[in-house]
Amino acid sequence: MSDHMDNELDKRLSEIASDAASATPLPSDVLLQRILSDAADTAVLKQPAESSPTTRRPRWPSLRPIFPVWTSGAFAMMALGLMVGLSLGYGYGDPAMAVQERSTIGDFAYDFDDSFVVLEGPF
Amino acid sequence: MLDKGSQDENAELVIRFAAGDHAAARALAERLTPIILRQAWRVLGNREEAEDVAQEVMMKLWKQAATWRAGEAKVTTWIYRVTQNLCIDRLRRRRNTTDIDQIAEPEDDGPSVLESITTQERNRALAAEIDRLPDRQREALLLRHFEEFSNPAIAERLDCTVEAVESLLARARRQLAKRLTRNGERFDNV
Repeated sequence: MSDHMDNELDKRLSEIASDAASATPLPSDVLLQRILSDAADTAVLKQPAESSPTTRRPRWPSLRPIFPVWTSGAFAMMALGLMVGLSLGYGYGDPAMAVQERSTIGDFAYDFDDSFVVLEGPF
Repeated sequence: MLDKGSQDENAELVIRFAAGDHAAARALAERLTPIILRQAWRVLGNREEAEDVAQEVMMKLWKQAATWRAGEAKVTTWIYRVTQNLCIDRLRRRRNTTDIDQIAEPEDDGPSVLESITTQERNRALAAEIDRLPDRQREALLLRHFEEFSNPAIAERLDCTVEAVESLLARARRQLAKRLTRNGERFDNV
């Protein structure tokens, strides 16, 4: 593109820009009021969330300081521990309980050999 | 021209607004609304719609203010992009809601925004050609010649390098000159 054409294009573009600038609408007072009213509404909506320490409801204490895992993980661990504990502990009770249990299961009564029960266990 | 007020001042006003300063809201509205209105009107060519876009953009700014991080993005750059996106959304909606009777007539037949505001007859064809340029070329050209932006400022708005802006501008100007010459315009006579 020649310099002359370049200059001519610049000149014409600035003429159009000048037309555009004079034709561009300026913001009306009504529009500014609408915008400021939006701003005020937004500010009002934000404030209660920021400054409401007195209205805060009590919550359950967090388990995070106790269990270094997320909360439901802590519950899962507790449940698992309980199940393992119960399954391991079952049957290792007092031998007398087992004797009593065995003696009441059948209809007939006979003398149990305690040593047999202790040796064999309920399993 | 478009960067009215320094960037730091705009960002500071946004932060002040977030802290509850209503005077900052007024200052921001007075600084930024004319910029948004001008950009939206240039794209949409309709005052009412441009005003709605201006209100919508400012509403987004008020909502964004609380999480605004100074230094990350310039307020005017953010405003420019949001305005552009909202205008494009409106143009798409316009096309989707066009009455079936109007589809027969191509949209290009009507005068463009620039064409309709050009006062000199000899510039009408040029204005129409500007509107037919590819989007990014047109934006670069308008920012350069209408908003008097520097190339680095245009690069920031268009999210590209300064070299890319130079290329966009050069291609746009070549395209305009070529089309006008093809249409019988004689630059050396005017």
